[in-house]
Amino acid sequence: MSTYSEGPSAQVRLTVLAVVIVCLFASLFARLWFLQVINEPKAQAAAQNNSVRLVYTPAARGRILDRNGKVLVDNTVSEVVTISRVTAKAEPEVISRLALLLNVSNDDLLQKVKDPRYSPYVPVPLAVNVQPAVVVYLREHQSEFPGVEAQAVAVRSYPYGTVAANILGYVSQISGQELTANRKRQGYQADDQIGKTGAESAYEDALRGRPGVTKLQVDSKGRVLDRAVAQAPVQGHDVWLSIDVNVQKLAEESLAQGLAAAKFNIDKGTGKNYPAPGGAVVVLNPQNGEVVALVSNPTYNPQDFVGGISQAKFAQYLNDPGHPLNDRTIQGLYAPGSTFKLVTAVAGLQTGIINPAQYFNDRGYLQVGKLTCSARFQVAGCFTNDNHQAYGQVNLSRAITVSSDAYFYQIGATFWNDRSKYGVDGLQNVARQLGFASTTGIPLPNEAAGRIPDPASRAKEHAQYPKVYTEGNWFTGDSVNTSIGQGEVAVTPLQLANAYATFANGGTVWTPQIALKITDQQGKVLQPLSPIGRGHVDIQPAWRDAMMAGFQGVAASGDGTAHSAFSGFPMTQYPVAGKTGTAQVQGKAPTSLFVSFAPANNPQYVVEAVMEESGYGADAAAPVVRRVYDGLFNLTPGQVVIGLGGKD
Amino acid sequence: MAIAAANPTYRLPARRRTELGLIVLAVMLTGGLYMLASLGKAGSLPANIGPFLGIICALLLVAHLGMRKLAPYADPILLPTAALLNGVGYVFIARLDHHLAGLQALWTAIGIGAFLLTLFLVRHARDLERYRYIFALLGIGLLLMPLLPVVGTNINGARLWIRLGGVTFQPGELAKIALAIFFASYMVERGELLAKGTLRIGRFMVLDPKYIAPVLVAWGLSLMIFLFENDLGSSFLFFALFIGMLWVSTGRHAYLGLGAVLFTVGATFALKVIGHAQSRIHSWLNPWTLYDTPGGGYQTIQGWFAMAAGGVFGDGPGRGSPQRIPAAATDFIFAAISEELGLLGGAAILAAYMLMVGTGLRIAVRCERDFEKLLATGLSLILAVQTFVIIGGVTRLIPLTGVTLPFISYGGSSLIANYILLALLLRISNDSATPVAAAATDMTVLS
Repeated sequence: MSTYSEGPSAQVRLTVLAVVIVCLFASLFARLWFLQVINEPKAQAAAQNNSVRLVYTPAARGRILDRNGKVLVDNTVSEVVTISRVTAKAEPEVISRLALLLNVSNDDLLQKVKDPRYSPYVPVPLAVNVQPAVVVYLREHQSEFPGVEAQAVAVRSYPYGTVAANILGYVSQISGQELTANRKRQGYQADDQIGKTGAESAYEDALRGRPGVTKLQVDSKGRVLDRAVAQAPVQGHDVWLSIDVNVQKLAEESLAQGLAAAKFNIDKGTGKNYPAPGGAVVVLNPQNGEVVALVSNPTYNPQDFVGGISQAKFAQYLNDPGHPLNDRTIQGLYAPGSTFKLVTAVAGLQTGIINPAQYFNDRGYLQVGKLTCSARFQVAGCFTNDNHQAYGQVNLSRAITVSSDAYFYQIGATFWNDRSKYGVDGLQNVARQLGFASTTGIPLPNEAAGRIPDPASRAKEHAQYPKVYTEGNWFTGDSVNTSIGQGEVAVTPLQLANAYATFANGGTVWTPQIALKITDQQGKVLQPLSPIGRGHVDIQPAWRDAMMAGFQGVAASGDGTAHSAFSGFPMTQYPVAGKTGTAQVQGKAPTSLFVSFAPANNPQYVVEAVMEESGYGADAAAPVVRRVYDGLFNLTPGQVVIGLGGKD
Repeated sequence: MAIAAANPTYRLPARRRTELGLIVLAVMLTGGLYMLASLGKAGSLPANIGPFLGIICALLLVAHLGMRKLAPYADPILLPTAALLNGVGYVFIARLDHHLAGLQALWTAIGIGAFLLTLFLVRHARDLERYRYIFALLGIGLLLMPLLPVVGTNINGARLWIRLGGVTFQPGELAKIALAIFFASYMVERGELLAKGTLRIGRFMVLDPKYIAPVLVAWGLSLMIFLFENDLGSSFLFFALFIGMLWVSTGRHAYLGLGAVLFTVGATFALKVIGHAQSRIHSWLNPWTLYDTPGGGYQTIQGWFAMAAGGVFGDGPGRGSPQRIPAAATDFIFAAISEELGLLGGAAILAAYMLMVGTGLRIAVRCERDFEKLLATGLSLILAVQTFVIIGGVTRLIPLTGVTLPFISYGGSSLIANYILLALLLRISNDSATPVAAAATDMTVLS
């Protein structure tokens, strides 16, 4: 016999076993006590958050209007075909039928069904902008398409087509980076649309509206047990831009004509046609900084983004050498050339280097080095006028009118040579006061700051990248180059126009304003957007008069650089003051610039054109600006006639 | 025995009257709970309350009458307790899923049929001892069945089921009982050899491998099968059963030490090799981080929410939301019960199991023969360990492994196996409680 039943030991072991089992059950009870009594409040709170799923219905975005209430961006109804994920899983043949009907591949649809960006509790969109006939077919054959629905959703529409696309911007699906913690707090979902560029992005918060929220009570399998609308969607607010769509259209057409015409012009330096690939036009009100038109050419079609832009189309935009998605008016960086003489003149006057009455003998060059310069030949260390022309005795007004480089070279050189008196960046300081080297503060996104080189920036760059910037020292020649907006000077068209606006209004630097007000759908003003002054530049009336005479002479005087572009223009009625610029670009044809304001006695508009690789400012940019004035002053705008005068 | 001795006329023992009373109590509790659940959920009494009460009364009456005929001296507590657990389980399954409830009612009927059949076929527990190798083969064969190519079926990543004509069945449930019978008879036969070392190595007496080999082979093989079928809960149950029975039968503490070592080795191996085991441990430790991953902590946390919602007194039958818990009718039914009946209801269920296990062990203590004693121990252990493994898993005391809660969870194989287990325990109880004279008469009749 075994020892099992002998003696008390087996009974003892069974008792031990019973005790162990009692202990195990006691531990279960203790655990239950912990879960149901001690830890209960914590679990209750956590459970609340976990059984309720929120589904967001995007609200229709607000509209974008021009200053006169013309609708630039509207909403239209688009039919979207959706499918419930449950059906898609259970009845794959529905997908095949849909693929045939929508004329897309089966795999495409399956891909979309799996798209993780869409909440699992709402139907997945399979196709947007579906033809009405298809929608009717779907509704008539609902039995063949269980779980498939056609829904009308609000999408963006653009009554004026591509007009002002650079200002309006486009709307597209929010990206992972944009879906920050802050955006999530505002209720953004992974499948939401968001303004990506332009006003759509700048006024996103106002335009977006309040998404509708539906609370879903879900069970363990994600089936919806109960649903309650917690909040109905509320359409976003309307944004009224300061843009005048008629002026915008006029400016766009003028620039396009100008660029097309410039392509026929021959670059005398190379003997080839000017490429004229693109440009910008800025029209703003110098009295308050309101932007009336911002043209960037080439541009894009915002309609392409409605309902999701295709990969191919987006890649095409991104790879286009003309960068159509960039707004050249605020992102394009250009050497301002002679248009920068505004800055040099103000700086010279402020420091007393020049005064309006003083004459200077323009021999056609300025000698900086040791070699003797000649008006006719290129000598190292000599800075010459364009075409080696010598203008003789010139005062400030005339130096501006004829665009005497030597006059301004002299100012630049003096700033550096007498730096003990003016500081190492006396000239640059005035440029910064006029708004260069920093963003203007226009509410549009991705604005570039530009650059005004000075000895400190030069030294810093050299220290950082000695291989690229081989020279760390600043020389007189650098100040001379800066004085006429060459060298490393880079400005955006908007900065330049705003600097001329400051001069035109007598010294106030405005933050350019793109929108006037935000209203609700009934037109009630919710938020007026007033002009914002940024600072003041000292331009004394005597200085301003002298410079004004010079700027007016540019267009009006017989030897003014832009005279031919304004032939036949009613100068007495609408006196135009301006400055041409022809900026040299390394390895490329020159940038053609013309900045102006009118009427000179009471400036209402600053109009500027900047055209890449288009030749002389007087030849390409000035005629474009003139045509804009024609329209602004209700004259009949003609064709843009590109000049051949070869004037800077 | 005292009762039996006091009734020399072999009248029906008082135990059966006790049993009948307890059964009536169980029926009343179940019926009341059923009505409350319907009131709580739908606000009206269940339409089928009459047929419902009729059917459970009929089923339990049949079982009771069978007991009177086949095992009149058996313990009076086990059957009513099982009936109560079965009834509570049914109410919750009906509350969660009408379709499953219909099937569960059918399985209950079949289970009670199996219960009576077992009592009828096994007239004396000692009869089983002779067929030990048949039970060994039967057990292993049952365990292997789900691995067969055509009938074997995977559900939730575990290959535990066979499918025959639309009905799925988990043969492993029955295998546990067959193997418990085999272990008991084998350990009793080789008890002395297992208890004392027979090989002398130096100063120590060690076990002769040839005596322990068959048991080790059976254990290892079964363990392997469980691992291949991804049934970690049953693996652990089986292992604990084996070590527990070995220790109770021999009294050698060394087996406990060996068991601990083997468990550590097995667990490490499982963790290294079996992805299923890794993910179970991972979601046990970090249910929140894996909340949204398939097979992650979602189920555990939904169960936790449900239990917390119940609190001490529960939401009330039919008033909670246990449908939010995945597998609420099977593995997670305890969470559903705890939600609606609260800590008190959960504790009552635990008490019922302890009552059953304790009764089983008391039956073992009273047995005079080693085989019956060890078999009763083993069967009680199955009940105890299985209950602990699943409730521990649901409450996140231990990693969650999918085993059923005896008598309560939905599942035909589980219910049938547990009724057979119950029948065997009652048979053993009856054997040891039968007065000698009555037994003699019985034998005379038989011979």
